[in-house]
Amino acid sequence: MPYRLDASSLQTLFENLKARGYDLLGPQRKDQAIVYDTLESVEDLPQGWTDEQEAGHYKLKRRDDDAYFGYVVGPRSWKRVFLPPRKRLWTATQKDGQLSLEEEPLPSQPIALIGVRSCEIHAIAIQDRVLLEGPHPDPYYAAMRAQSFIVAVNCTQSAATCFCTSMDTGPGATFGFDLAMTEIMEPEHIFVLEAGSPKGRELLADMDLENATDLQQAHAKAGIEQARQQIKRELPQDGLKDLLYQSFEHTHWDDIASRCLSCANCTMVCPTCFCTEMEDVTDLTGDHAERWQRWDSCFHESFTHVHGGSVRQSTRSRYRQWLTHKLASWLDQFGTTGCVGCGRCITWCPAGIDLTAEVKAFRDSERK
Amino acid sequence: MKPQELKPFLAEHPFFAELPAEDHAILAACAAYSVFEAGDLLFREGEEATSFFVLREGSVGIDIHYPTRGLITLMTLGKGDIVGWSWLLPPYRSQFDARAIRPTKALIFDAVKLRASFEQHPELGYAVTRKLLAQVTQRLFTARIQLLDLYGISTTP
Amino acid sequence: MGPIEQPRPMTPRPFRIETVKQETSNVFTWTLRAQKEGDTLAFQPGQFTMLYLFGVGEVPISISGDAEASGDLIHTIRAAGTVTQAMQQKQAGDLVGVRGPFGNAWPIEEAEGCDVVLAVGGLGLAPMRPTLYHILRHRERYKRVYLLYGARTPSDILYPEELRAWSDSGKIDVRITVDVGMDGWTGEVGLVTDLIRDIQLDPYHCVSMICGPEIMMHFTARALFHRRIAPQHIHVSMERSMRCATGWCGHCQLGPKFICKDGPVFDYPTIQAWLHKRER
Repeated sequence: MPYRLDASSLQTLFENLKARGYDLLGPQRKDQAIVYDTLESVEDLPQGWTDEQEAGHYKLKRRDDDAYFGYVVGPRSWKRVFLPPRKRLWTATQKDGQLSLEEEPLPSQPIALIGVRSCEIHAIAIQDRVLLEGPHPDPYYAAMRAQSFIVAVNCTQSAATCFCTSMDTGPGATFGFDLAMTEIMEPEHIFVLEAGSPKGRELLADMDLENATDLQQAHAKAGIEQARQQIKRELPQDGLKDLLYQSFEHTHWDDIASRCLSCANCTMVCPTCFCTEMEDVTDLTGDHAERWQRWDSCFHESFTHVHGGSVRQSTRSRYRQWLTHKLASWLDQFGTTGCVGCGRCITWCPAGIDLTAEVKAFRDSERK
Repeated sequence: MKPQELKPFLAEHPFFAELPAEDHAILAACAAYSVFEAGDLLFREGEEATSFFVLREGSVGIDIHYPTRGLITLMTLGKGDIVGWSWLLPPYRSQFDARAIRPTKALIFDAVKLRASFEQHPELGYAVTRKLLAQVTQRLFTARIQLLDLYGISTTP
Repeated sequence: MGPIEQPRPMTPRPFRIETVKQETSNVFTWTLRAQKEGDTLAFQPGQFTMLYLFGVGEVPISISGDAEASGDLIHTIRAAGTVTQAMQQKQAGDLVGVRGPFGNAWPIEEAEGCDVVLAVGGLGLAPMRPTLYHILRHRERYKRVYLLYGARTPSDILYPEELRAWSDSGKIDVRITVDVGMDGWTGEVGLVTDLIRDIQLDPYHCVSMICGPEIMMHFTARALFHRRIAPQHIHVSMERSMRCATGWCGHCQLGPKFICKDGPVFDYPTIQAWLHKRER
């Protein structure tokens, strides 16, 4: 049964989470974008702001209301919580004929993620498959996931770059959350709230909230429906894997390569891209060394380096690898596509390359 | 050995097996049977290429002399292989040494006689040239792969 | 999800170099023993470890010892890049880190009751040596066994004494060819593919394992097809950039496969389509 939470009482939800030991992470305005970072209170939320997005375009704008979650998605995704851009794995010392390695302690601080979009829940579930379900689960990722509390926020508006409806990943959250909220402005500014896990139910029980009325629930549904209706882009999945596998030698890759800067932005903003580099560093004394794991990208030439050179030397081959992996080989590897339709790679591409348009170009040429 | 006695050898050798019997007779008339001990030269670089060898047994190396390293073997040939094709085209000079590595049995064809019989029987000449080209192609393939120096590149793990 | 592995899969375990054997001018073999008493490393033929040199870096190296012999870990390494060149400077008594073993194994069970063709090129003999040890220990399980080995020059031939011993024992038909014959070499000069022409085998009951540069594996597989060996009975060991060996880092992907966790050994049909993709 959904509950109602007055917008003015949002802070009580935060207090409840804090009382349970969670640190809060959520959206806030920073560097002219809405990003996820540590939240102290509702004051930090980007209330009254929205984001205008297009290929290669992102701009914050004032809303004409006081919605807390009236934006879509920003350049940061939640993957930095579970798979940080840079983290130390261990420290080694070599002294007196002994080599000793000290593993970095695993995180023990529970965190609550506030404002997780449905497409992002899918992205987390996809990364779970990659990093938890292989032969060697990632201990850091596992520890963070086990201690996370997810507060989803259903989308009631879409950006021009969104295409979750094609990917079946939104705009409303259907699983993978502890709480899900829909923010409605009419007839009054409230959240319609429901639990998705025992942890969530327990928390709601403690908050002693009123049930949401049928009308409020209808408004919430209508909001999600509005987001669905606003989606313009599409990426039809039908036959996509075979299309890409068969297009390996297609000349359209050259066309994309003529625009792509190989800057790796798309992979950095992508909520599912998981590639990392292992980096060994040492200090000047030479008896202390560390291994760091940091985000890497298949757009870097060094990515495929083996003795004798790199396997993928051209932008053409690197873009092809990224797109083919994301939309085709990912299915063979993990039983799911690697794309959730969040549109970040479109927005944050400095050349405005739009994967939905590129896939369409492959499809159109196939029909000819 | 008389030409008549060489005919069965021709018929069973993969290089000639597909040719008709009358061609075997013509070829046999140009051929002799020979045995080489290990170290014997079949021909030497720069000398006139007077013979064409077809191996029945043993092993022959195609060698070149490299001033600081001595003899270098570029490829080895064995049973079923042919040795030498410089006899077919001017200036009829061998470009490498050919040396028996182990005791080797071969049919030796007289190049002058062979060329003359090809002039006289162009179909036979064409058939033998095609077989020869197939071997040249195979060896060019080998040479190209060797040129890549594949094992100079890391193969781990 | 189960409990987290201990030590964590990304943490090297300290091992001491017991012996260093210089095999050729730039190839050497290490015998390694765990610094911690009782820490042994069980593996299957075909698997690899990540070897860490303190302060320098880490590289994937296949295991070249005997999986059924107890004790030490054996690796044959070519000094080719920064890390392996630094490794060549190390001596007995020095310490290194070891993670693993990782990856899958050569199909030594599938090959039982069959003729076995092991075709290796260059350093590819090292990852195949555990398979040879296994076959020698259980020779009765296999029919004809060939080791076809292509090396660069006679002085690049790895493990020459062992090769002679295997050959002399009559248990393995060892055939070696080099790209360039010198220093009094009286053996074959040519390609590994040429060696396939002359071997006798039952193509319908034959398993082949190939390890070497990709081009060598490609042409060797093709020569085996000509001998009617079914593609699914031809296995190759693949190499791609490998950083984590755990499936996390994404570097070693070849099409839909991760070399580190799906490989490095693949049957030919699985990898064929991707082996022929022209990247760059």
